[in-house]
Amino acid sequence: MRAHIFVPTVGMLIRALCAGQTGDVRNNYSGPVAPANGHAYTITGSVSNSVTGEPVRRALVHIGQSAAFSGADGRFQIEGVLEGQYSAVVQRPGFFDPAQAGSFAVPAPMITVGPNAPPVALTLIPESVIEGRVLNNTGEPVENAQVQVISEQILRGRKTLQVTGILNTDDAGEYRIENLSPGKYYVQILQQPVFGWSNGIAAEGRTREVYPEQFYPNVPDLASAQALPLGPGENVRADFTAAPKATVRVSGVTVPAAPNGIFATLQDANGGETQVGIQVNPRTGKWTLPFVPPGTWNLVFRAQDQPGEAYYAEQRIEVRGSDIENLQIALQPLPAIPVHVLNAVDAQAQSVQIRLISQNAQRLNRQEFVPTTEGGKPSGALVLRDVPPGVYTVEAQSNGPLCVDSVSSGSNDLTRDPLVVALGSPPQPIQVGLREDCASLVITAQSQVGVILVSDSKAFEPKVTSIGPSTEANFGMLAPGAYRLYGVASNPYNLEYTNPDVLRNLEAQEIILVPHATVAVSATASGRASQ
Amino acid sequence: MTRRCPFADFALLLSSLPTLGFAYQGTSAEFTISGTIVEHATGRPLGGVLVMLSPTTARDRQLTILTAADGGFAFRNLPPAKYSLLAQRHGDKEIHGYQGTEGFSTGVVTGPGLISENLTFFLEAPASISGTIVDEDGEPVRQASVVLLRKAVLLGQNQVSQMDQKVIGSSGRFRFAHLSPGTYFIAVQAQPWYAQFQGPGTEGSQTVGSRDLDVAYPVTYYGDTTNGAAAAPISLTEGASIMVQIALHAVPAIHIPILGTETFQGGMSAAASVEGPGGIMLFANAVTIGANNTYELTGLAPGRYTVQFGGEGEPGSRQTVDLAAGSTLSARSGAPISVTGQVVFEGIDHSPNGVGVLLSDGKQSFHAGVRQDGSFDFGSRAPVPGRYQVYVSSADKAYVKSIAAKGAAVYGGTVEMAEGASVQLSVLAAKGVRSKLDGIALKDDKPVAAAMVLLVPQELDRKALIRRDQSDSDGTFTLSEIVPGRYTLLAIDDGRELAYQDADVIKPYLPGGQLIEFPPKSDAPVKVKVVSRRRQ
Repeated sequence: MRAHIFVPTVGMLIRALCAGQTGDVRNNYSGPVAPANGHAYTITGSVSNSVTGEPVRRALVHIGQSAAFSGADGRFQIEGVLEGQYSAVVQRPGFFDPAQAGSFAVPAPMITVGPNAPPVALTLIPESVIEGRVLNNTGEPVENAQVQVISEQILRGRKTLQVTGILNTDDAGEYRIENLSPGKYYVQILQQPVFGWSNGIAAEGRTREVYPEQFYPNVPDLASAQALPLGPGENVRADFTAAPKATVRVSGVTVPAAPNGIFATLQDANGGETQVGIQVNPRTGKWTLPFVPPGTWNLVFRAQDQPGEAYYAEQRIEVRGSDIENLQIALQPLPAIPVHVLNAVDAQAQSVQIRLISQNAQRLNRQEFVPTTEGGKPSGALVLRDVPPGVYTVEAQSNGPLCVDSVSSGSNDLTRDPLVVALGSPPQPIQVGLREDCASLVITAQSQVGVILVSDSKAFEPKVTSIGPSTEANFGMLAPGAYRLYGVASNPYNLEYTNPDVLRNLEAQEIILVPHATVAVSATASGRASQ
Repeated sequence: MTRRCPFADFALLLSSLPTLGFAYQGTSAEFTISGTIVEHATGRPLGGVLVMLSPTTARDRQLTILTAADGGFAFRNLPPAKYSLLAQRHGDKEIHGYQGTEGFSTGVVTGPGLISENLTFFLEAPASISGTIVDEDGEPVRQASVVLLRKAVLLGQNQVSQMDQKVIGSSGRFRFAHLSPGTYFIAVQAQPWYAQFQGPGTEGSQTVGSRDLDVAYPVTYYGDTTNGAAAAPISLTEGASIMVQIALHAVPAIHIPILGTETFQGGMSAAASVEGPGGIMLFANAVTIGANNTYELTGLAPGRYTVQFGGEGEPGSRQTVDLAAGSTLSARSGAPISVTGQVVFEGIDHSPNGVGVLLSDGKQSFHAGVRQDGSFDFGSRAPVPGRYQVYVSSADKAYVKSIAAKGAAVYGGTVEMAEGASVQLSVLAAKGVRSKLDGIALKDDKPVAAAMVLLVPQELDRKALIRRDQSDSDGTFTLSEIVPGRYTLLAIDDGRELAYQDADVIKPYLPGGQLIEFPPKSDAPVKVKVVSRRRQ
């Protein structure tokens, strides 16, 4: 066997070590994590399916700088591996390496190579699939229906809905979305004209009908949609029946014209959004929405001009049976919200991180906004741009040496109340007050535990980490005050910890931090969080 | 029909013939266009087909209806005019014209004594090709890109063109539906899932047991060949469903060092393509790996490739070469072509503003601006070796009357340039007129519908001057944007799949045509006799 020289890049290293990634990884690094002493050994092992326990053939196993394919019995043998500790990486189409299986991810197994090392047992998590068929109400297949798969994920303690796959049905109305990691999914079909887009403007009568947007199982909105829990290797069917629905044409003009194009969405009463096709003349600002289904909608326009300035407009429309014409839409520039950091030491503004998080949970890919500096200069004042009207949670945290004392907007205390951004009135600046008498908290644990530190202040971003007997958590830059510390046995990042209902059944340690204090506590895992 | 109906009423609604009309002001609207949509292969009437009608002078004023269960449609109360009649089956992406071929169709004319009712509008039954892509172990290949090619006469030329492309999922299955009958090829490109590409300077490749990881799949065609010329044609008849399987075999990937990249500032790009059936170029999955200004092309099986290099501010190069272990490539063209020249506008002593010269080989084009004195210089954007059609672009429809060249060979309106050539191009241009020629196709003095009408220049080499139309239901046709000159006007009863750009194909028809000097002295419509299609 010849020597293998395999030069990993930093990118490969990060990809291989990052949990929570899905999909095939082309290059993997599994170099030694502990120095080798020069003796070479043969590693034997097997690869099995984590669900069925069956052997997986033709999996590519990387250990150190060597690799092997597993045989028909799932077994593999790698010769000439230097003594040491390695992480193993397994690849096989149709499977996830356990280190990359989304919210089911576990750290890559560590393998000790040396004399009398036992055989290595590796597992692969089979991919999950959602498939189904879209038929119309007379049983004919709906071809080219756009099917969107939305995964529910916890990001920074909040449920977020991410579009993870989109494809079109074939001529039999069928679709198949593969390569899904275990998790919770919603399936949606997007609004589609029964006779295609090209006929949108001229069409009359029945040819103006659309298959309306709907969610599995044949419900009109996300609020009533059913989540599909998808276990590893599961194949779930989500069939749709789409009944054509009459639409009207809504048209008008925007002032100013939208030279860079314009997006239109229909918002329902719950804040759910449907993107609708728009035809627009960029020169005159005349626009037409050829297919608007009946209902009461908040019609939202978003546009950008040449320098990249964002414009926005809303118009409430009642769609009954007839076309709506000559709507005058005044596009308004979205306001810039200044961020003032009070009592900051010179050039401290940048060490405060502000984030606006939309409270509209119905929206896909939840919107978050962070400030940029005026003129792009590092020393410039902080400004939040392009924030559309809505209700936002404002989180502020400091990187030190000061800690966040207060967050407000005018007379509105943002540690208690949300920020309401509306069009028309220039918004008040967001003021962040800092203080010097920060406290810190050191947390230790006897066994592996996930810790979550929360405060009553809505502007405090909960602090989360996992610790074990040999590691400790050190949370600094905490404003003096009352905190609650939760310990969980599961992965704390998969917990919706910004939701008080989820934390309710967990036992909390109340911690009072006085100015300048450094407090040491020990954490243990309490009962399961109610999900 | 303005009643909005739920789909439950479908059958009920369609039991009466849907009709629709427009009211034009000030004209009598008493005519009807009606007929039946029929599936060509089976003679079955097609219900639920979308039928679209618009006056040819106002295509945005479109009426649409769905055919009844018996395939019938009728547009009533129409004023006398020429209409474009189109139909689209449910789910079909393509809209078909009445008696349509390649975007030309027979317009339906209404008026006293004209037949516009009881038309039979044939639509072909859709066919499909589906199949699976497997690897050497018989396992499905995921993420393979499957390209559907069709061999047909397009714009009078036999050619193979790309119809569709799909990246397939983990099942390894693909399906192309709604296909017209004809001759198809399938090309597949993919990379083995276990392939590892390593950068330049890496010694040897990684092997695992007997299996090399530094491998690539060659572009593979249906018929399990990697030679484009040997690709097996798939003959698809109307309404047929064909299943195919294509197996890919990994071979050691080539690693071709790319030389001459030192001057490429903000990065360099390389694209490789292979020649598929009928000379069509298909992109191959080339991977360019670079480190420390040393680049290498890999991810490819050994073979013949056309490699195109490009970079910011660099002319780059295009080369067709056989690549195998040990080959090298230069990112710079051997010897660049220089193209300068002069545009003379007939009857004008200086060049109008905003004029440019365009060289195009149908796949790529090169452009240079023309100065006030008529001179132009392609500078660093000069074309790569090849044969190019010469065009003059301008706001007022200028056209090329003739070209001459020093340092390059001229064939009709094209110029062939070799590597390193220094070409001086003289272009005689004229300001165009938006000109058209109206006429009527006749057989035994009776108007003939659906005839192919061709205006063929006397210099057969100047193919860019050919104009084409299809006669409408009253035999009339209109040819437009005609460059002044001498032509033969032809009408052929069945123009389907006629490779009229081929001089050998069109020559036998010329004696049956009519000589025309354009522009004609009179505006009166030209009469042309319809000749029969010659069958070998």
